[in-house]
Amino acid sequence: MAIIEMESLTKVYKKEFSRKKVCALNSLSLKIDEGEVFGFLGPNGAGKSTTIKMLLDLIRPTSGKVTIGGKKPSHMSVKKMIGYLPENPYFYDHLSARELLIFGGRSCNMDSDTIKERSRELLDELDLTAAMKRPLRSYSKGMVQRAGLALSLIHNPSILIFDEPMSGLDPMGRKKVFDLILKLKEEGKTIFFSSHILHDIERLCDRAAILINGNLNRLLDVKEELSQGETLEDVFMEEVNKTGGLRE
Amino acid sequence: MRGVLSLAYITFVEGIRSRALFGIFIMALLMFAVTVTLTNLFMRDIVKVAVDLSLATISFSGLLMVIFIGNSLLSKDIDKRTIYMVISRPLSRGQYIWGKFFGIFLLVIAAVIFLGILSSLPVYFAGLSYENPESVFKWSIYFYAIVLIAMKLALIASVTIFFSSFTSTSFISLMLTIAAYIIGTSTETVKGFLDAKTQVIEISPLMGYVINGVYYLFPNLATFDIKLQASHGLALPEGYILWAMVYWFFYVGLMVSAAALIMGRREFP
Amino acid sequence: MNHRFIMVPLFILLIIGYILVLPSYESSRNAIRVEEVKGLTLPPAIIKLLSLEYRSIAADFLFVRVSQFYGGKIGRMEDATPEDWDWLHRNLDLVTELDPYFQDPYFMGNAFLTWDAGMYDEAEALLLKAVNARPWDWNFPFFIGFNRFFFMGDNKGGADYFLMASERPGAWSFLPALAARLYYEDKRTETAIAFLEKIWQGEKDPRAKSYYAIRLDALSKVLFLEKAIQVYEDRVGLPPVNLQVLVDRRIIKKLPQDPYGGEFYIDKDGTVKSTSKMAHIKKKE
Repeated sequence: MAIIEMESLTKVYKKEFSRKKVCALNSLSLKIDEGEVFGFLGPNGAGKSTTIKMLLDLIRPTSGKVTIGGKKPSHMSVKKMIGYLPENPYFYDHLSARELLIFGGRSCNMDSDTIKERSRELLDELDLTAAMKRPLRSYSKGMVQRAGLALSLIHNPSILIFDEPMSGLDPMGRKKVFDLILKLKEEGKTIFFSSHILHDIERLCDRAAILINGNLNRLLDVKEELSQGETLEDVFMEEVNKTGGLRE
Repeated sequence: MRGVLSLAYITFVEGIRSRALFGIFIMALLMFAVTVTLTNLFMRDIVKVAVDLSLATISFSGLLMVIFIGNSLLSKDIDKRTIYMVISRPLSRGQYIWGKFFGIFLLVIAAVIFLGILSSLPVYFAGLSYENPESVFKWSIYFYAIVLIAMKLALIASVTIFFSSFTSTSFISLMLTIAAYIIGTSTETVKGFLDAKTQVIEISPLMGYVINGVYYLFPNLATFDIKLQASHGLALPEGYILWAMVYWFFYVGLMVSAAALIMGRREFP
Repeated sequence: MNHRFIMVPLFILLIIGYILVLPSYESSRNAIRVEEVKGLTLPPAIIKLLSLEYRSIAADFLFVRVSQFYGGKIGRMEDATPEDWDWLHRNLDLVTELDPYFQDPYFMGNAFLTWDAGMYDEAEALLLKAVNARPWDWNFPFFIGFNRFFFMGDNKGGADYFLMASERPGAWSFLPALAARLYYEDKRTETAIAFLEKIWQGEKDPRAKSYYAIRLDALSKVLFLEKAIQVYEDRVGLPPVNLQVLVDRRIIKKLPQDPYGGEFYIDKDGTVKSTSKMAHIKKKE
């Protein structure tokens, strides 16, 4: 059952003070099923973040349609269903992780007890309990990423959207996130994430899409299509060569 | 609603914990200390001078706080991309704006209460050290002056929020806010010159329209400046505070609502 | 090469150099500064705009500037020139434009613009601002009345203003009676002394207090001489040719000394004057 539906989704940016137009996303049509883990890969500037931001109503499509659970992304009920982790999350300097999660919970109308319980659990799971009262400013890159994950999960959303969740993490951090995604998959959540790390996508995803220069080049079922001994890297490079190189 | 209040709270906390605020408070304390020594330079109107300096300190410190910290609490949200952490929650753009405004508003209230209490000390001591039978100082008017200062600061905050809703960097909204402050403070005086018609320089009708237009468009900040009344214990006309509050209510409401509307259409690539 | 061997001595040299350079720099700077303190007076409208919402403290600081400058002159025993008086007047006017309720500039204006500068009209214009701005305050209509009597020879105007003052709270209860007396009699010096004594008593600023004390001393000596001249006139029927006559006639033991450093003499119209021009009440020309 498709929970996220994108139909001819297009985003064109017009540069300030010039006639030049940049097409960040060109007519993307894609359906994500409930409970599946979907990987989004492509080179930098391919349009992955653009797509994700349109799912969150951070930017609006120039043309085309996107619905989540049948509704437009601007609906508050939709936002409640989604847990989002941006690429390179930034937080208020002086806030602590605990205060961050309290805000996260309150903004979703959770009651205080539930917030307390869930934040304790999450902070423990993500190894942030020791640092939970310290200001986010003092956190290492890995800790910031984990705090961002906690924020995306505090309200127990059914859909997770992660933009480069492994970026900048050390191997231990990567393993933690990897295990977390697996656990969420077992819980039946829908997970949509973009990544550069082909190996992770191979291991985690049911399906994956390759995006190059704003176009959906290939949609593949990971298990099936890679069983013939091809790696995802091979497939990826094949697609890149087909397009005749990358745009800046 | 909970989300708005929670956002207001974390905005307030972020402001209170900022180092800049600490610096501004230290400056205010120094100015209060200076007030006590400066009153010695005057002959009769010592209480007036103490009140002048105290109120100016509150007003100026508050202004610095609203312009710099207030601006950073919103514009920098966009600059530094910390806005994603908030906008991705189930909060509408309008709720975001109102939450921010209430957070800065709380900050203003807290700062003015703190500074207001501190400022009463130099005034009190000035009153003690000089027995001036002609002194007509009243604490009630001093209190109203402080309330009006708080309102003025909140109004400037709402202007900052308005500018931040459509400018691309925090620097631009900072400059626009400073400009709006200067214009808002001077607009009544300039209109007064125009109306008095005692200029040596000829003022063209076009200039007259411009001056009047600016007067109604920009906030008339002089409304909230009753320093003269406070320092000389002059009574305010009946209903003055009430009308000031009405004007304030509408102007702030317009600013923040406009910001909410503009923000609603904004994208965050 | 260890950079610390250069950095530390360099730093010390710079400090020493800075200290040595300071005096010459300062005297070069001060050459302009003295002019600047006195010179510039912007029109009230501009200052109003520039001071934004800080008009009252702008008034306070401007007033301090005025009183420091003038106090400095008195301290250096310099005489004030007409430009100085003009500057004083313009700045007191400016201060009261910024804050019309501010007492100090009016008091200063009344003290100096009348006795010393002889700018009676300007003093009255200044004091009128106070009369209007401070309707609860009896001092300022009183000052105008005083000036009208003693400097402008306008007894009716003086009496009117005294009556206005007496209607305001806190006024001396004998003001109306005094108004009447001044209107009909001409006891200028005596009344001036009585008033100045009261002002001197109420004055808290030690500089102003000594200022009034000196004037009181001078006036009481004038009164002393006036009384002696009256005694002479009663005896002889004519005013004396000069003051020495009073000593010769043993009406007084010796001529009193003018605290302003001049010499008392009797003028053609029979009034007591002094070469210092400070010890008598200048009548408006």
